[in-house]
Amino acid sequence: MKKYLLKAFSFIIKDFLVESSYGFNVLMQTIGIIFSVFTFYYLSKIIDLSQTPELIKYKEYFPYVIIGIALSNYLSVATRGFAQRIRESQLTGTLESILICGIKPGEFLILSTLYDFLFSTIRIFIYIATAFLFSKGSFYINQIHYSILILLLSVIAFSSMGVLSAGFVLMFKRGDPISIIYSTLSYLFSGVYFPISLLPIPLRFFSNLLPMTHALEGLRKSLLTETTYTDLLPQIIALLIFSLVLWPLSLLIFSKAVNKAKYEGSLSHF
Amino acid sequence: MPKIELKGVSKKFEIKKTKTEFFLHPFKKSYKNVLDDINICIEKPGIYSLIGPNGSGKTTLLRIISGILYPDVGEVLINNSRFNLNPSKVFLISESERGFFPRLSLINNLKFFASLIYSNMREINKIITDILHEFDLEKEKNTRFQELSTGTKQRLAIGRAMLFNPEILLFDEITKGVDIKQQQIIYSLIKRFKDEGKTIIFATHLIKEVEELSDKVILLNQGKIFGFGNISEVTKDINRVFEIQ
Repeated sequence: MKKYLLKAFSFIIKDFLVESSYGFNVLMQTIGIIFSVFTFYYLSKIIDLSQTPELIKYKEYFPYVIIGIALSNYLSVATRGFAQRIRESQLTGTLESILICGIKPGEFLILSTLYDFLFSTIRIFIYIATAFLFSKGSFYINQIHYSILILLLSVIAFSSMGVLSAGFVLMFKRGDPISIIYSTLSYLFSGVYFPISLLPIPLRFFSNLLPMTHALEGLRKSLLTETTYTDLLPQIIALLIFSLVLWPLSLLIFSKAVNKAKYEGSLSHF
Repeated sequence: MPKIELKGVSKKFEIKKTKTEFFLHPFKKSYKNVLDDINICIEKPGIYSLIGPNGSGKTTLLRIISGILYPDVGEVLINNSRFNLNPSKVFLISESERGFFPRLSLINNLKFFASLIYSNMREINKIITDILHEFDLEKEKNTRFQELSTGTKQRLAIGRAMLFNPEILLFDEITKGVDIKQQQIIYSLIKRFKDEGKTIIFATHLIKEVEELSDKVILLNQGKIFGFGNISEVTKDINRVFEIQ
């Protein structure tokens, strides 16, 4: 366990050092978050909730949309991050050199995205903290433990798509259609910017097939409405089902992809 | 004492199609045989030069022995058991321009790789201090990898391998692009590893290196073993192969 924690810590420090070597990268990203929060703050002032009854339970559009944007950051890291890390490490040859050091491919995949998840979690908290400061008291901060549970389940459900996507990159060297299609659909159909009840009925059914829909619903319920575990049970169950079905499938496909790359000798080139 | 055995190892790679070929025969695949029925048994520690012209299959053979590449047919046995990646048994040191983090300093690169095997920081700091000293890397420890000279990068690559203290070291054209002084340093390191009882397989296409270092020579040409023995036993074959090229 201690050895594994040290490995995890080393991957995080390594990625932090690489990122911070690019000067203002981290600072610019933080400024970007604050700018986007203010954009939606002013945008939300022109949205009249009485025209969209689906939003009334959330009291304001601003915290509603900020939660959507914050979680879509997670979705982006989880779906694109794995493939991106695989691609980078193929280009620099570090994938092969790390595997030669005895690290298992699945272990590499998880360790190499730890920094991205950590940084995204910090970003989520910056988003939510800024929205908390500027909203009119719509947040139920005492329910944050529910939100953490939903976030945790969301990461697992989203990541399975990311692992699938990483497998695709290893197999076909380029392109990453899985994450592009998946995140585009999620942005449109899972209620990032507007309630899915505004969509036509057949599309609403499609929305329910996306983990993001349930993650957003759960996170908004836990942060913006008075809720209990029982109220959150449908979202928790949905996210658990996604995780239980997609994780083994994605790991199987990824291990097949690594095997294929070891036959083709393509671990070190892209 | 490690024993390396390759039994009937063959490997082919798919040849990439040109655009015209792709349109004419979209489903037809063609392959190039890179290794063809390789059988070798290395029983004693020492320095084994793997020599052959460019494209003879040296790198592919070393990658298969290291476990990072699977053969299509045949098997690699280390101490009579089928081999899987294990850095404390076999470690491949290849082209040093890649495989490190360019924007990290030399010492941070070493620390990262050390953390993959050691379980506490005290151990890591100790082994790194030893390696920096042993491979004369102290002066440049804070220099970013991308700013290091080729010779320093090669010594760093050898230093990284020594984190794992492997029984078998595979070198893939490690002296490519380094000056004579650095070459001599690398040669003396390889000789020292031999004295420590390690088995070294050293891929090169330079006959001078083979003469300076080898206990035995493995001659590879067009994916096949053309000779295996002492330098005097394979000189004729070496001349023949290099003349053919």
